[in-house]
Amino acid sequence: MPSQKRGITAINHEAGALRRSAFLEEVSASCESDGELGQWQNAEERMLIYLKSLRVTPEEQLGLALEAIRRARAQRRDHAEPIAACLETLWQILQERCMPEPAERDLGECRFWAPPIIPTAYSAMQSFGELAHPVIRRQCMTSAPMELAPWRRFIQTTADAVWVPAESLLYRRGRMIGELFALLIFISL
Amino acid sequence: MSEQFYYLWEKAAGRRRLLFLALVIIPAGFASMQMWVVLPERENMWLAALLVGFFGLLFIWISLGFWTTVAGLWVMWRGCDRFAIQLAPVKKRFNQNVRTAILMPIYNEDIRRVSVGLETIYRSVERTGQLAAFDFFILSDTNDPDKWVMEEQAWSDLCSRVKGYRKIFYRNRRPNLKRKSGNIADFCRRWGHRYRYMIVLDADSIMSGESLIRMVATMEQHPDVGIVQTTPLLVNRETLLARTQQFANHTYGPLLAAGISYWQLGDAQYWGHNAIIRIEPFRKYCGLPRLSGAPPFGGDILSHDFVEAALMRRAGWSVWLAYDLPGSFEETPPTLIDELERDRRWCQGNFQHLRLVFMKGLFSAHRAVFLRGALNYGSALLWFLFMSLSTIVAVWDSFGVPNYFPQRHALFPAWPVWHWGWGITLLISTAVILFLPKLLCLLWIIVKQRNSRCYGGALRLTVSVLLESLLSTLLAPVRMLFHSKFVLLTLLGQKIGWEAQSREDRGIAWGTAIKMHGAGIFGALVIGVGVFQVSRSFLVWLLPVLISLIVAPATSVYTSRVSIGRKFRKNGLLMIPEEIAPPVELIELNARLRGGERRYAGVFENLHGFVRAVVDPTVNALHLALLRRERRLNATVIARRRALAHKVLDKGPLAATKAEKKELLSDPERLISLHRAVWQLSDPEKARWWGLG
Repeated sequence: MPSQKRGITAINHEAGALRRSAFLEEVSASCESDGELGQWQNAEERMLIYLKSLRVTPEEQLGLALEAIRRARAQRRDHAEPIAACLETLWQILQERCMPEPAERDLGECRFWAPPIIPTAYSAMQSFGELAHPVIRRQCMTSAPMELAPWRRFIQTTADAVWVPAESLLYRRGRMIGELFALLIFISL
Repeated sequence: MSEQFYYLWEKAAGRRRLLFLALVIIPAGFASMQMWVVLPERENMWLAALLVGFFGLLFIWISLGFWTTVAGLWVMWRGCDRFAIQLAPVKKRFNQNVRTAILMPIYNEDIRRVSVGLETIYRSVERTGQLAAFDFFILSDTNDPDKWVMEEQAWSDLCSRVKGYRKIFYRNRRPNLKRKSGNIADFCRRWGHRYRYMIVLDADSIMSGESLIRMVATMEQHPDVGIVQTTPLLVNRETLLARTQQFANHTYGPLLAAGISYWQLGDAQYWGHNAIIRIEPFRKYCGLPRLSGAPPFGGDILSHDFVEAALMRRAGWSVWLAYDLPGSFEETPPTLIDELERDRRWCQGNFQHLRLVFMKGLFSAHRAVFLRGALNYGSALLWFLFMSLSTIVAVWDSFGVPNYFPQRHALFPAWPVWHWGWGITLLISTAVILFLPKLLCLLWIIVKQRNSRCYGGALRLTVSVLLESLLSTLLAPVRMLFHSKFVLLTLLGQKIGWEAQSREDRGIAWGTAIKMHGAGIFGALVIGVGVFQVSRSFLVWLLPVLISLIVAPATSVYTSRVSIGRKFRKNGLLMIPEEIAPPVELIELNARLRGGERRYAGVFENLHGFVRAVVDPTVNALHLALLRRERRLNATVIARRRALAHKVLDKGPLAATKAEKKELLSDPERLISLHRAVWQLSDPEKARWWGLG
């Protein structure tokens, strides 16, 4: 069985390579310069990386990329860069073909994860986002009262009356005075 | 818990604390009197009185530890404490409708360690068959944009690995108000209504499923209990310092925890993690205010846990320490620098509690906890002052001429007498107070527990105790100096930032160590030379402290080395039971940490954080999915973000600051347009910046 599977994959690759070379002949025939051909090849490579990162199978990758190039060339405006035009078209194709994955599907197992730039996919993404946390029902959590009892308040205010002037002497008027003073004590001790 | 039991434990706690006070204060008073007699200096009464005062306070401080260990030994030897909380039995099950949230608050942590740790806990709970009763939350306060993206990926990967969607949740909080306590409070506000209990963990916590179940069952068994705190055991570290800490925690920790529980009973502390909390009263009564005034004494409450326990108790819910519940672990800082960095934070937090000592309605046990927390670091300053005063007295004594005729018209001179015998007695009694608890713990393990083989055997255990004592003695003056500095800086109003804690084993370089201890070495040399000139006999007393300060860089460097820690382990020294027979959870955790998680190897594995969120369609999609729904934005904000997006496109991702990256990552519209623009870049140089070269 595994050898049979490997055989099928090899046949698919071979078919893909044939399709690709035929397509390149077609593109190169209509290209005015080698530079332009190079740009289309770059666009194709960029799309293949994109599709690979979307976890599209290698067999489907080439088909989608070639179709995007075909459409981009047909719709191409004069000054549009091949890469930009191809990617734009690829996203259109993806929108047409991809049904957004069910939200609960595991990202790692997604066969065809539609990018969020596609509106339908974006809404699916948001529902996936709901998996990140349960439904929120806000309740309040107010700060606990931390007032002092009267006699303790008296102690506190007395302590403050002593501490605050000392504090301002030490560092409120300039931190350095206090820190130098402490450093001097620290070293002298 | 019945009314009668409630009344009984409160009465018992009162009696025990009275006894504790007597045991601590009476010997301290006696020792201070001895000190007064021993001192040869009588000319400067105020100096001598100050010295004796500091000595008395320090004696009280070390007596607290001593009597707590003795109480712990009493409880553990008898095998039970009839007033302590009775934990639910191991096989106890509870109603499945009782929902518990397991919270892991994180802040710029190593997300791989966090997710592996959470996976270990998840699988452990799964094995108990009670997974349905628990939900897991990663509550992120991370403000580093790159780490934020990595956390989202880690959450998704974790859910995939354990099939834990709708069981494991992730939330990133953008305004990090009130730090960790604010993070937990935010959970309580949003999702608190769904759960009866929450178990709060730390980023490096590991708990066994069985312990979690027992904690919930215990709370169900005692409806008056607000918090049950476990005593986490330190594990998993390899550096020499951390191994020493682990060993001390395992050897002395159980008795100390039992002793603390003996004095505190239902007025125990909460340590901020590895504890179960009843959400409803926590939400109602434990919200923390921002204290008036500027930090360090004002502002957000840093060490929130002690305060929350005090508030819970004030509201009438008891707080217990489950000292005998196994299966709770955490990790310790690997090096001295990391430990001191943590201490700096804790020092400020504990001193801030002094403001709350007089708070209305608190129980005296919690006021004492606040004071003790401050004294944890304040004692270092006391010791420093005590040593400084002793030096001054010695110098004074050397220069001054004794007054042989303190009374006028006396026929015979009054010779100054130096009571060597009393001095030695005092020294020995202080040493006993300091070291006897270690000996008691050793005896308890060998004679009562009979499990010294779990520490490498009785001989190795004894040698390890000696080694630990030696190292802690060597490090004590270094810690004293740093803690004194922290206390002074705190009193002078220097606030500290909120940094993520280092949790990985890494060594300290010599340069760093010398820079860190330079001032201490200089001070020790100056004092050493000075005292040598003046009073050589006093230098002998000072020598242990001075030597330890002079060799501090070497101590820091060598104790931070993993290789040395491993050598000790290889020789069976400083061993802990978890190393000889590790529990399943730790075996799994380490296997996962060594092996790495099973992950989908994507095209952009070499890209991280912000760049990956922009470029990788899957990560981009995930990040957008987890963002809040779009809000209507102000035109100025939109214009600023557009300009930012143009900037990163023109100059590359490295041109953006962390704040700018975070702003772009928070805006779904901008992120989508950046994704499009980056993929459509035709300039090869610019495309390379984004990993598309």
